[in-house]
Amino acid sequence: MSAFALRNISKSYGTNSILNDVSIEAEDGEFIALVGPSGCGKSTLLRIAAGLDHGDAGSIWMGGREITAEHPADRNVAMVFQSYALYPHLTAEQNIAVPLAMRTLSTLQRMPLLGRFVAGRSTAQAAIKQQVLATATSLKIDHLLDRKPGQMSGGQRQRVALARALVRQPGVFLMDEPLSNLDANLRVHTRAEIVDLHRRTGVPTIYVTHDQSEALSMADRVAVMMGGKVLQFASPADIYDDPRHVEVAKFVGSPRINIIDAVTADNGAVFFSGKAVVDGVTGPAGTPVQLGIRPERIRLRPQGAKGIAAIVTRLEFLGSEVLVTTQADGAGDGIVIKAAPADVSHLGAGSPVALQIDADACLVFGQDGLRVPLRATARIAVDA
Amino acid sequence: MHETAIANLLPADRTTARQAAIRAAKREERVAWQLAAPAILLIIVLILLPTLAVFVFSLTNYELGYDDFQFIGLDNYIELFGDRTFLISLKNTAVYTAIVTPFSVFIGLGVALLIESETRGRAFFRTVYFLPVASLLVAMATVFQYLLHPTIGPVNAMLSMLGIAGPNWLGSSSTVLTSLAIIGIWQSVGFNMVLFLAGLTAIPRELYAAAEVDGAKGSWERFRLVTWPMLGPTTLFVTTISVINAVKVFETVKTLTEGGPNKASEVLLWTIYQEGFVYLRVGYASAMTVIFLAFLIVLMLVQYRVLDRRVHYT
Amino acid sequence: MRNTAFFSMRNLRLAMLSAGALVFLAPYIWMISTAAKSREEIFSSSLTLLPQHWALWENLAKALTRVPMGQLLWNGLVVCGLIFFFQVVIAIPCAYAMAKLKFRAARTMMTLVMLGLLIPIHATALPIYVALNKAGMLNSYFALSAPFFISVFGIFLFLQFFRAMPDDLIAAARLDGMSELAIVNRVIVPNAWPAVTAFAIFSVVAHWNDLFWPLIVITGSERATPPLGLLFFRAAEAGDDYGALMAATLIITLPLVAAFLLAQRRFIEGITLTGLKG
Repeated sequence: MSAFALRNISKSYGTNSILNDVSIEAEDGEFIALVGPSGCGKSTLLRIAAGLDHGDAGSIWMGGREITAEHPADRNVAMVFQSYALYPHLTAEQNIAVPLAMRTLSTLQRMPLLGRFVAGRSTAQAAIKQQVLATATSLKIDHLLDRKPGQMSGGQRQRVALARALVRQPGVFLMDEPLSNLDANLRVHTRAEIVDLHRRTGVPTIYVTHDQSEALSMADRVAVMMGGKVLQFASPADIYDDPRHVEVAKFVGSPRINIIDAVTADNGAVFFSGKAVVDGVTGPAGTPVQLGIRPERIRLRPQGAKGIAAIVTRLEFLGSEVLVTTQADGAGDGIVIKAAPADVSHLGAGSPVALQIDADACLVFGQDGLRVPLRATARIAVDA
Repeated sequence: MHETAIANLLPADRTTARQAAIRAAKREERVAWQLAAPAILLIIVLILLPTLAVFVFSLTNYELGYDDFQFIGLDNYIELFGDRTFLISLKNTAVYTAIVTPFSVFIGLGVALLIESETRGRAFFRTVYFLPVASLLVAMATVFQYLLHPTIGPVNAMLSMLGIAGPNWLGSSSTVLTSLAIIGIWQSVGFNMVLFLAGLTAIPRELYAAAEVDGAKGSWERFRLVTWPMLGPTTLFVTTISVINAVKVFETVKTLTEGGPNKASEVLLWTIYQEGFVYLRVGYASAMTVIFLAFLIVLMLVQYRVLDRRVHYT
Repeated sequence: MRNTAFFSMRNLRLAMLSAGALVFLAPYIWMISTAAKSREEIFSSSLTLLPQHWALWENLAKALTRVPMGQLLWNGLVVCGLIFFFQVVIAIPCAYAMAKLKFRAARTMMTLVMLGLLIPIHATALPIYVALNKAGMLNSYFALSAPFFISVFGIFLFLQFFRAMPDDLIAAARLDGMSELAIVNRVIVPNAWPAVTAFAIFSVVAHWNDLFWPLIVITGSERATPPLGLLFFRAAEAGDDYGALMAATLIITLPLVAAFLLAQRRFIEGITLTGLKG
């Protein structure tokens, strides 16, 4: 039984389908990332999970209890918003206290002036204050408690937003691109902190982002969404090495995977630039396929060596590595190779090279975008 | 096909989700109605029904104090256009508006341009020119009455120092409208100035730089090329507001002239006030009100039309 | 510096602005000057600004004793306070519903608001007067303030302001367990202060200065607002004791002018909102 599950969620506005039969579940203590390009429906899904929006079909479960019809406030979910959504007129302390106060204090106790005279208010308030302080200390923002959001930096606001979500000990954490408003340095730093925080609390987390590297680096499992569908829901390693769909392969990894249009020959061999790079593709000969090869899986060899003949068209120096763009027959946009700087120091634009491609580096996708399985007997060989 | 597959597989889920969605939407709708209900009620009671009632009254001979009244069709309107007082009132309102509008718009623009280009004393001048807008008009009208007093007023005293015999500003039928217009201009320049100042700050600085590069040397050329066209929407807006406010002139007339002398300062709202609230001829005054309302609506429509067609460049 | 610089564009601009400012200030200068002069002096030398014999206190005393000045100011305060309170309490929830809730009647409401913006009190005065008269409620605070309890302009203004507030903030409040009314009270209102202040100034200035409606519904000085009281005073004084009249004018003009001078920027913001009404 999952700690939190979204089952078969569909939603459409008129004829415009936003979500199409989406299922995601998080085990206890699991960190799930929902990643996809903007407009893929990931934020809508998160809002449905929170109860801020409703699907047309499907159900939502928390620890075996169905909460599909429950009001957001009753679901025991906590959410961190992209804009942080802190109350601008309240101090950090008051902001963090709001979800507790709304739950533990009665309406009468919350009355601005009258509340002071209602029994039990001061003990309840003291308890809240203590909880707020504990949460703030664990996030190292206890020195900011008196400040209002306007007096804090983006990173500080982000932490207060986290604290407000954390303080309630919710059944699930929902995070909607919480890092996208931070600058690049702080983003990488905060990533690690959120993962750390998650590990300490053990609360299942669903984390929405459009940044594939964020998703891969933080999550236990990643759901790649496109066009309102989950294309693949798997561990980061599987998503990267074993993508089920060409769009997943293209979305994940930087620089982007090389995609080459090809046609299968007899015995399921796939030819690239006149040479068979992999075989064992199931299905009849003459089937058009897409061949995907990650840039770091191609090796540069001197001209005339075993491999595919190509010409270097551009070199991009990135410090620890160099991106080499080459042109080979049959590869429309050029092939990008990731190489160590020392290995390519002798190359320049126009240098002739040979590309060595291992068969196990080749991902073959059918016309419908789905991965084409290779026969078990698939030969690992590069025809030279 | 896919949809039906889901429906067949999980009929219960589908209904729960749907029901939850419908329930949430209904709840939101209900709360929205509750929050808006007092406002809706008051709009109906205090704006829609009275406006409707004015139309209905205008077709009757209703007079306050007499309980029964008859529908007399358009008789009130027919009477209106034979009513000398009403016609004078229309003419006076038009003349007053025709004087106040251009002066208050162009002086407002001039002051705004001067303040915008002059760095010294900006806040001080803005305050001074705006002061009349924040002042009680009835009180300031009283001050003007003293200033324009034919014998003891400082204005005529100054004129006589220059050898000019000052007129009986508010007391003579030939000068009374002009005098009221001067007060009207004095009172509204600051308001227009502030709107123009806002319009001026919205003009991108680069446009002036571009105009200069393109060879617009003098400040007049820059005004013609950049400021005036860019202020188009503001100017139209300020003009409309000025016309509407001028048509609504009432306070100064009530305080200073009560429509006199000899109906020379009889204006629309004053006439409506007299007929409706002094003579209590509600039906007849309602017909005037309908005409007044028609003016306002036509003005707004003209503004929308011009705004759509001419002065927006985006 | 050369001598010609004295006649530069800059100095010309300053001269024009100063001359204009003098003209605009003249009524205030003479108001104060005249309020300080004795009756004889007003009739003899109208061009001297400084009085030879100070009569300011006498004039102020006359103004304060012959009209119930305290009562007038109090009436003005009560009426403006009542109007503002109801306008805000009624307009804010409505504007919130229109801006942030899905609401089938929202479009109709928008039409109502736009229509309402077109119709001034002058157009609805007759039927409202007839109704108040029938109900025997003339000459009361209620008659003075009730017609203005709804401000479609207020709804319009708050609507624009609320639309700019982030939806996430409201989503967060719902997740935190607030009801919609609690959201209005605890999230929307505390963050709408700029709009509320601007609207307050707009509303108070408009109704403090209004003569048309008080003139219609009030007959005695007991419930008279400041402008109406000044009219009564003038009528009683036959309008020739300008010293006392100017003193009264001074007292009545002072509260708003002082408030304006203290909070100019907010005032200008607030009053120019009238411009948006079009």
